[in-house]
Amino acid sequence: MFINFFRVVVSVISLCVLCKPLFAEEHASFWEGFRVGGYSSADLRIPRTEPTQLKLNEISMIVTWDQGTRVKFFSELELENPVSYDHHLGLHSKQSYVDLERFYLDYSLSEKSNVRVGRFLSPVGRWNQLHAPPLVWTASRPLVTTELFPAALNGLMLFGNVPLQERSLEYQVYAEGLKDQRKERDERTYRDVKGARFAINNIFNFASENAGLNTLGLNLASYQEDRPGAPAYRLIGIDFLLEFDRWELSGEAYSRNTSQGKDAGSGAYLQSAYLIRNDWYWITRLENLHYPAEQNAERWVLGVTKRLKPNQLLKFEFVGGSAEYEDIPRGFTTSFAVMF
Amino acid sequence: MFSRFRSCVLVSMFCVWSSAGLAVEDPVIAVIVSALSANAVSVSVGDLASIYWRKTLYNAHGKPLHPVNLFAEHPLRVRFSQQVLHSHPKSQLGYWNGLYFNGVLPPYTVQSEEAMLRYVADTENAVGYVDACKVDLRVRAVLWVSNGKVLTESPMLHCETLNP
Repeated sequence: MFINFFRVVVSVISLCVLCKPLFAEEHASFWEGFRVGGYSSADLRIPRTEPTQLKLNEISMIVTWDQGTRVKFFSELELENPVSYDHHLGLHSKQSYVDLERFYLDYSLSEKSNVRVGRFLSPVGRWNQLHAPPLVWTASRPLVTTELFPAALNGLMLFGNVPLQERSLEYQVYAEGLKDQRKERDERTYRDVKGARFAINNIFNFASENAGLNTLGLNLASYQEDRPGAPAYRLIGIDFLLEFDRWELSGEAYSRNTSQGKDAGSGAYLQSAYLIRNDWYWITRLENLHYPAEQNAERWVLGVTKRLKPNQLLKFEFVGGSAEYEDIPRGFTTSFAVMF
Repeated sequence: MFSRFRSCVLVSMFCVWSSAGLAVEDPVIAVIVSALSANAVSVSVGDLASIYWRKTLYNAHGKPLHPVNLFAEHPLRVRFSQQVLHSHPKSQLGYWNGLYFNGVLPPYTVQSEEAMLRYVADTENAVGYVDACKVDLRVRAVLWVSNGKVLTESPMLHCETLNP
């Protein structure tokens, strides 16, 4: 699969390079609209109960097209877990697979409203929409952001930003049009996803020189797990970000019920990042997850993160608490993440 | 005792007067667009922050907006950022990385106010800012930022001391 993926990528790039001179004169601006970027991260994980593992987590390629018209294109193709090493299996790529994480077109209806069609990340909270390792302070992800709602959907979204004097209201209203066609390993899949997120930016309107971003978001969603007899869920949640002086505080909290009103899980996290000095940050996170029919989990994360360059993070962290989740094991992790 | 009180009052009055003087001398920032009508764009007080946060990407006619920044350490950039975006440029790094992750680039950056004037003058739908005393015929000032407020009319400028 790994070789096939690279064959496809090399073929597409070769084709583009061959085609470009032919169309160069007529459609120069069309090709100039493309941009390629991406990100990657590698972890050394020393979990409490599993073997130590060195892992390249992903190589992600982001391709965008923007020619200065109302239409924009965005795609993110990810090669997940391309290479891992542990002393049982040695160097291997058994967990490797290709994931089309995002693929959509945006159309600007007006200054304050846009429509998105395709596959995109579920606009639930902040972490899910900014989950790339170079954008988050820790290598481990809060449990509540992985267990309670779909990470992405195929459908339609209306979104925009409405200025309200010093503040602004950001809205995202979405509905699924096509359910996930493919299930990856133990991943839960969902259908009939619809919801909305509303966020107020600059809520405190700080005037101090040390002020930073401050945002409060409200999340509403409904969806059904894609398995026979599964109930429909309704989710409500809040998220926030507050930056002031050397501190960045953030958090999300969710509560989920079935359509009959029965408890179907809840959880929250609260995280702080404190700038110690020279771009070293002290990270603290507390989180919990209540999941019916499974063990409740409490977690704490303590770590330090160094911003090596604006696009590079080096992380060291200890994760402790109760319950074991395979993707987010307890123990020590160090990680390097880069965006390019 | 009474003379001490009088001294305190005089010192307080001096402090108030000098701080008021400093506030007046704090250079006014002019938000500029091209003087050419073909390149110009209208910018309202309410839209300015959204344009610079890249949350508003298009104007009313569906044309892309091109906000321009001075480099992050430039004193005028720092003041514009604190007064309009309510944050220091350094603290915005995570925000711009997040936007890049979603396919949106931060405002184009130039190295000087002269470069800002040239870029805005020659670029369709560009929005920039300079010291209000440096506005010339190539551009048109549409808003003014002074003492933490965005104004639609120019306040009193004291250009002779800044730009002899």
